Amino acid sequence: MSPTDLPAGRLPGRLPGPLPGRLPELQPGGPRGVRVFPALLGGLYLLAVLIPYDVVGDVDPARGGLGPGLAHWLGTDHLGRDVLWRVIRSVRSFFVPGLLAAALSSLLGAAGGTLAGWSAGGDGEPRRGGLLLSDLARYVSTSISAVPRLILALLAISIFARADDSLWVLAVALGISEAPLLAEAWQARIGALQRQEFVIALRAHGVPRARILWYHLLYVHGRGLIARHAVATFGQFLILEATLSYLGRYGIPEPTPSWGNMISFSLSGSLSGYGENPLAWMAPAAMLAGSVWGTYGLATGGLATGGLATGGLATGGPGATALEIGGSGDPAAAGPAALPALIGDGLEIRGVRVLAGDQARVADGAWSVGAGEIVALVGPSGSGKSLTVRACLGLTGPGLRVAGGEVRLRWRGESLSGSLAGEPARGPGGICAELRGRWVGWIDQDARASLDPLRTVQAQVEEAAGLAGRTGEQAGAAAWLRQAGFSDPGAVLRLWPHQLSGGMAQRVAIARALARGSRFLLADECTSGLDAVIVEELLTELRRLRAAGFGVLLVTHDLRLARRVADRVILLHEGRTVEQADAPERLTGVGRELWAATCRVGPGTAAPGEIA
Amino acid sequence: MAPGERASPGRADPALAGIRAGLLRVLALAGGRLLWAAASLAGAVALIQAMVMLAPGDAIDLLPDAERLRPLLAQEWGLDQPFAQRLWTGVARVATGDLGHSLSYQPGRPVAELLLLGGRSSLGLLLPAMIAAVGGAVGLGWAGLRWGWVRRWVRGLSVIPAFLTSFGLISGINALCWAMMEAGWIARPGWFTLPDAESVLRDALAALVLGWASGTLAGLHRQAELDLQALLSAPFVDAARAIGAPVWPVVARNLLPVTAGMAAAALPAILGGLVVVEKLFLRNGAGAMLWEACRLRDYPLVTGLAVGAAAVVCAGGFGSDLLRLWSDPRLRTP
Repeated sequence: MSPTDLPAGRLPGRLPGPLPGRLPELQPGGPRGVRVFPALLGGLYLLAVLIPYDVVGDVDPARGGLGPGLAHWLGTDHLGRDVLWRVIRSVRSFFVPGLLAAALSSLLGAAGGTLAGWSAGGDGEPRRGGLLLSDLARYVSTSISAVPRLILALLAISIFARADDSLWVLAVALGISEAPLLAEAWQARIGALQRQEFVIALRAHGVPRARILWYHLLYVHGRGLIARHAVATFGQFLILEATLSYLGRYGIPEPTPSWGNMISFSLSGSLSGYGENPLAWMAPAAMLAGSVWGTYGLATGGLATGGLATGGLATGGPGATALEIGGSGDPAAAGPAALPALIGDGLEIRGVRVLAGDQARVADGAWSVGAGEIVALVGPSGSGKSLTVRACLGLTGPGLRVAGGEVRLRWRGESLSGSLAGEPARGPGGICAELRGRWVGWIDQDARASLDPLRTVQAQVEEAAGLAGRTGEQAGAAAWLRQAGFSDPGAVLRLWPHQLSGGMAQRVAIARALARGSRFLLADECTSGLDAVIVEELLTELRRLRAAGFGVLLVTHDLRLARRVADRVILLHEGRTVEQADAPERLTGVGRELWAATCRVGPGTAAPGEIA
Repeated sequence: MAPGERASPGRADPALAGIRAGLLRVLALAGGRLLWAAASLAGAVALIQAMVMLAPGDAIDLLPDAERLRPLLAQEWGLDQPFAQRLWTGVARVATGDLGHSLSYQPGRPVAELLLLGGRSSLGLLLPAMIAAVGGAVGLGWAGLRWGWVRRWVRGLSVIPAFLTSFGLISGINALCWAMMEAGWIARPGWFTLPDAESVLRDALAALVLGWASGTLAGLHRQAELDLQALLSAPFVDAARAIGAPVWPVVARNLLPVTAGMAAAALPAILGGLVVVEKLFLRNGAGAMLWEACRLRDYPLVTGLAVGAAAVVCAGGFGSDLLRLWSDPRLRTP
């Protein structure tokens, strides 16, 4: 949903809160070390319950401050109490209240989120009074979240706790104060799920709403989120309990051990010169830090691996294919014989190799475009067309590396050449930085998204003109917008990108490239998503640019479009440039099959005679 | 308008009409958010008041000097009234700025006055901590995208609780000073031992611990990293690169609304952390005051401070929404 789709008076929700468990979109699981954490903690709890330990009687100052030994594996504190047993016994103090907090929070959050999300009717059929209920749930959730949880917990403990039940009050307070986080996340999720096709299909098959809700949504799609929230709440409880115990009030009082009061007691012993065994505070501190780390790791899907390291890098777009590394290492020799070198002014790229890790996404890409020429770079989806073109500007994206390629450019006596290997990491000194803007302009397939959403059309075109060093009238946006085909540029200047139609955005992108002084335009699927009239206008614009001497490389999978506008067609297949022809119907081999397939489907099928 | 063409007197200029419509839309959105923030605050106040009223037995019984205070408080708190009426009266009193008087912390002193006093002291810690949290999250998020080990270490270390970090820092600094004094390298420093004395170093450490170790940095860092990653791979950033324009102004501009949201989201955790950090670093402020008020069961002060914290959270959320409205044209234009 775009921000403007929101109902009046509602901005998109603020970011999810900062603590663990508020990132529900992350993958569950995490590294194996983190996954054994619940078993470890559960085991310690069982030990603490099954093996008796006298928390009051285990005092013997004569053996105070002993280091690790056979009798006391972690030594003793300055009162002679066994550190290891106290560390283990601490788990018994917080484990069950922590589980209560987690269960209460999950139960309330899941119930509230389900009620609000389901009643809002994301499937387009609002339940009676559902929106009111949804807003009410959201309001209650926001009101509870407005009071910081530690303050709410302290307030609750100071009011409701008696003698030794403060931990239970803390558990209930935390359970209530954490519930809104889950409710908000689950409400949003369930609202989105209800709009999905599978839910509509289930309803069409007559599956009762109650079953869809409880089984398909809550159990199948919600359990991961709820489980992660429960783990995060348990971690929060751990931190709060240790904090309060450490501070010496409202938590677990001595002599009952808690990691918090053990740290406090032993450190004060150290500072008071009791000759304390350092493990007496280091061991509980390590256990606490490890447990918080473990809960956080479980709740967020892993600390060390973090999906970011690989996410979105090696996966590529839909239909992308990973190729075996191949081709010649010599870029000059890599270009196919079918692609003769340019003679006049133009831009030529050969031997492009783009790697994702050790797999080639483009093995041997090549293309060229002359001044005053429109060239179509065609090929099926996933063949590496966009990457081959993006490589020359260093726009391959994170995780991809340009391992080879050669650029040659000639323009009215000026020339430029260099290797693409190592781009875009070479920065300002690289060939990509030389080409960007000054020589080569880029028109993205989603032109509206390629405009900065926070700046007006005027500011963006004038910025490009400023980068080209233009002054006076040349620095104004209106002239460039007119050149790009706007008959009334004044009406466009003050618009924001989200107010432009797809066709207008394409023209603004062209105006920006022209203002920047680019001689060659690389247009990546620039007609996708546009209606026939706009496409026709855009093609007219491209033909006009050709007539003005610009070189245009049109990246497209649509051979019919290429046939209508291009002077030359270059075919890329499975990461390699395989052939070129002056029209799609003159391609051979794979190109011929593609053209035949194009002619078999859709409206406007070419006459059989057109296929050579 | 073409040359020679004259606007008809009865019709508004389209440009002016557009500006007026935009202004009205912004006012409507901002007004809606203000109402929402005020309503949320009212809800939070009602929650706090209800908790006090739901205390088992008689709330006055919980006070140290219950018998002396009973006649006075029974009337002031309206204990003879039905629950709903008491709740309404309580919320209405807060709405008029009447937070009552302290019972035991500073008996007789208006809570609003104490709240302002504590708030002013805490502001010096709160603001640097917010900057450390949000700035650190964005900076480390950026560093994490460049160097994987930064990401791992930040996530690993930033979940360590505030008190553990405070202790580690204080103990480490003390141990270092002890060792240096023992070796005869330094005389006893004036601020030794932390946190016994006033010092800039102590304040800076307190702000860092509050901003980074209240469980805030871990989540904010992850959020910042995701936002930065999305921004850096956005088509408009690629387009800026493609025309040879510097990328960082584009990223910074688009990061501003996101950062505002992050700051608002960090507020509750940092406000809660104030209680712990002010207590550990022996600072005077609203957090330490809350702890003492809880210890002394000074309910008017406890509720006043909780209401104050809720007001700051709601105001922060509203401020963040305003900043987003101002910086993001998609929200304020059709």
